[in-house]
Amino acid sequence: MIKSEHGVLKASLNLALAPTTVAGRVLETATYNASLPGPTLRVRPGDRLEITLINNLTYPGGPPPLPQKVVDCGRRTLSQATGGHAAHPDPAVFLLTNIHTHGLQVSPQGNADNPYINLQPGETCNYSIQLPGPVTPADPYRPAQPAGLFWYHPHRHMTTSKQSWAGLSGAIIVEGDLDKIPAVAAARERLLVLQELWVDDKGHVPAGMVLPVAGSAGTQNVAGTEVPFTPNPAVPTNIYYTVNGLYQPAIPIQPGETQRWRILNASPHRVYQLFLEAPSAAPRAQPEIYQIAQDGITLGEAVRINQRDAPIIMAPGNRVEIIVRVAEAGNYILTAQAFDQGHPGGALPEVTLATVVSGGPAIRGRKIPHKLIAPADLSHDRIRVRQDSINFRGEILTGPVQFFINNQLFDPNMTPITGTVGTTVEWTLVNQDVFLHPFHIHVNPFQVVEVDGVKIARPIWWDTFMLPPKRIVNGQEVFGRIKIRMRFRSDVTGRTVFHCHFLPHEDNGMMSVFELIKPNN
Amino acid sequence: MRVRRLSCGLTAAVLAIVGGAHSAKSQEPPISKTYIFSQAICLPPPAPAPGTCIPQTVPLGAAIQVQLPGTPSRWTVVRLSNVEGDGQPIPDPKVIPNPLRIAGTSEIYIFNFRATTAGPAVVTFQESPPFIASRSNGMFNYTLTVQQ
Repeated sequence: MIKSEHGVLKASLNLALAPTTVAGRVLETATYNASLPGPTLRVRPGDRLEITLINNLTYPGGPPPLPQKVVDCGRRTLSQATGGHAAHPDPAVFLLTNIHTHGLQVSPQGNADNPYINLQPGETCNYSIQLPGPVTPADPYRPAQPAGLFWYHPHRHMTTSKQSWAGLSGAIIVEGDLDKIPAVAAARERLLVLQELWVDDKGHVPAGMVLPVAGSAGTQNVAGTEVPFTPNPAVPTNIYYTVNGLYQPAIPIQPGETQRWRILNASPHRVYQLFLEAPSAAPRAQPEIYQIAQDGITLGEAVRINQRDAPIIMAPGNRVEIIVRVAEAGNYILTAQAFDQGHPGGALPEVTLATVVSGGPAIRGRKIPHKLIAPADLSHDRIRVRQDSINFRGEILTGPVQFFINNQLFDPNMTPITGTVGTTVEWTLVNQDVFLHPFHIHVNPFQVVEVDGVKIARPIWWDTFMLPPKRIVNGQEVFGRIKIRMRFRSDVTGRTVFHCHFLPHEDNGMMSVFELIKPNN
Repeated sequence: MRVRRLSCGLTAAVLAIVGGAHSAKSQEPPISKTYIFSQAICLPPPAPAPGTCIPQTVPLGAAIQVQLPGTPSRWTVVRLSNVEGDGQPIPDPKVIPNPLRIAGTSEIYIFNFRATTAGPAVVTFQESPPFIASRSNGMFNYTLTVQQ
């Protein structure tokens, strides 16, 4: 863990291949600082992150890393890069990288949270990312960075999925007001970083073009070998679902103890419908789970989770924070339930993530938090712009697969949607596919106010939300549709992106550009 | 190359989550040894011509799986050389639902094979009536090199 001091967090992240043992196998994948996941960063609102990103990526078995040089990375951007979505992509593209601070309400320009940065092997980038702090008087368009769970990961277009399958990601914890609520402060804190590592028979992330296949079938019908992708050229592959880099670890808890779990879905593709299975069906054995935050933003009050009727579902990029308490000793199994995310072949199968081992002396008197922090309310905001029908659509028959937003593949120089800072807007997002598409937008979080025509009575904040699929109604295809509302911060301008957070979709085109502009532009 | 710290190093130490304590439900994961091919390598792009699948290399004895979207069209094996159906000379497909994923199809046909002889190998499929493979008269020709 790396913590800020005197308002500054200084971190050096060295990207390089490193060996690790997962599920009894030695893998060799790209890492930050030879750690899986990368180091956790702890900051506070108003802090500045000074991150030195060193690209020492190489091919497995290839030449050693190039000598390093510091570059003016904010000026060496994707806009000047060549190449596109090709049937035979240049393997060198997979060594390019950058870093995105997912959920931080920070500048997307220069050497801040700039998804256009295009860092090549042998290059070092000095990032400087200023978190917003509180302002006086309070300004609804300049809130402080919320306290909660955020994360960092590579975001160089066309490389994000493979670098995420390698395990390149890490948590960012913003400390603050939520931590001071007594029942939250009393709970033991745990960070659970959920990752899916996709490796070939040599323990490397597969090279070549990624093609979707039926992941439900299991290769040769062997359970546990269900991989929803194959590379071309084909090689045998496996996916390992890890928690903090460990395969099916044990998580200790004492009966009666409350624990605060900060859970991050850092997987590029898998949706986790979480279920904590009790050791018996006895009512007293059932775990108590209360959600207190979503995507780094605290809820107004803790929400009791009914695992069977309204489970926690985490798309890639989502974070949830929960308070967990079990009354009895025994082994509770944490699983990702079978889930149909629209992939070929239907639902991806259930996987075991961890065993929660309840034992030791019982703890009494631990309270569940109730009232938390009232979230910002958009219901009385004047909607300055309504952006209708931003459409999401994919084609997977041929290779490379292609995923479109408004019928366009991502182009860094495409005409952006513009948004005026200091205003509130409403966007309608339409999913023309049966594939789910987790919508993520940089800089500004949003509230989902309507899903498939049904208004949401008490909207909460998100920065990643799965668009519902198209469905058949009375023999007709009906597209999935949501409406979101956003406040564009008044202190952040610049060009950035929104995209599907199924990263293979993003890498194959499903990303678009928007630009935050000042009122007089 | 630097050695990674205990699989997860500092992070795990801070979190006190313990690796290797497996539950009754967990198990050592199986390792796939199967080579999976889909229709995508038989259609341009990236295939050089419709039905002429991108050549692949597999080791002798390799398990091979071919997944093809169908229904209402049906896929059958019409030619095999140096590979065999896994468990029977010519495999029957396993058919699984795949509605609304690929236009004009609603299921996936899954064929399992094994590479039995070193050298060039071929598996040819017929789609009836031709739909996905309409530009190649319903034929997909997978060519393999089986390495000793």
